[in-house]
Amino acid sequence: MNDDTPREMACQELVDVITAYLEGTLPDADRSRFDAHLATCSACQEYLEQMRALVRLTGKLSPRSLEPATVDSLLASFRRWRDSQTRL
Amino acid sequence: MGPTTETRVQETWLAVLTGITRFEGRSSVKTWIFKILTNRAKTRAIRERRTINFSELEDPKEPDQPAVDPSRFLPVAHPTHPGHWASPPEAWSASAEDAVVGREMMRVLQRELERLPPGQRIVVALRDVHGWPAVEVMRVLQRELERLPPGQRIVVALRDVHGWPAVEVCDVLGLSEANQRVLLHRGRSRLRGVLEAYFAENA
Repeated sequence: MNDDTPREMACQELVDVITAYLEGTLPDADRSRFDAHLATCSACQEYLEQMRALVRLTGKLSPRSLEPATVDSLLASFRRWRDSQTRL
Repeated sequence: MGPTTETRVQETWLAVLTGITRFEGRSSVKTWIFKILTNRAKTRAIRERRTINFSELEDPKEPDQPAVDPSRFLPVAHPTHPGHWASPPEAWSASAEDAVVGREMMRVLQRELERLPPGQRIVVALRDVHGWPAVEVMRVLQRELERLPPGQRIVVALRDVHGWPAVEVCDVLGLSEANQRVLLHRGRSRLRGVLEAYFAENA
C-alpha cells in the first residue's frame, strides 16, 4: 500500500463517526472512506440501519415537555395575568 | 404539580409577557419561549446554588463512553481485520421499523378505544394494548431517554422527539455545533445499545 492510499475505515471508527455522517458534517475524505467501508460490510450496514430506525422510533415518542397539567397551568396563569390587566 | 413548578410557570409567563415588545420575530415563538424557560432555569439554579450543573450542557466531557463496547471489535493489532466487528450487531432494524408502523396503528387504535364504553375500554386496553410489542419498545425507549445524562437527554429530546433542526438546538442551548453533535451521538449510541439488548432478549 503506498502512502497516498487513504486508510481503510474500520468498523470501530465507523460507529464513532456515524452521527457526523448522518448529520452531513463528516469531511468529504472521511465520507468517502465511510461509504467505501459500508459497501462491503453488512454488519455496519445493519448498524447504520439501526441508528436510522432508532431516530424514527424516537420521533414517535410523544413530547412530554408540555404535559397537559403544565399546559393547563400555563393557561391558568395567563388568564390570571389577563384578568389583572383588564381590571386596571 | 408542586408550587415550585407553578412558580416557574408564572415566572415564564411574566417574562414572556413583559418581553413581548422585545420579540422581533427573528426566531420562532416556540424557540423564543424555550429560550426564556432555559434562561429562567439557569438564573434560578445560580440563585439557589442548586446542584444542577448547566456546564454539563456546554461541556460534554463527562466520562467518555464509547459508542459501542470496545470488546466487540477485533484489536487494532489484528493482522487482517483490525478494528472490525468481533461480535457484529444482530439484525433488528426491521423489527424497529415494525414498531414504527405499530405506533401509527396505536394512534388509530387509541382513538377507537376512546369510543368504547368504559368497561370494555379498560379490558381491551389492559389485555391487548399493554402487551403489544410496539408499545413495549416505546416504553423502553422513553424510560432510557429519561435516564440519559441531562445534556444528552435534552439534545436527543429536542432533535429526535421534537424534530428541531441542529441549528435551533445550538441556539437555544447555547451549544457549539460540535458539542451538540457529541451529545446527540452519545445519547443515540446509548439508546441504540439499549434497543439492541432489548431485541436480543425479546426476539
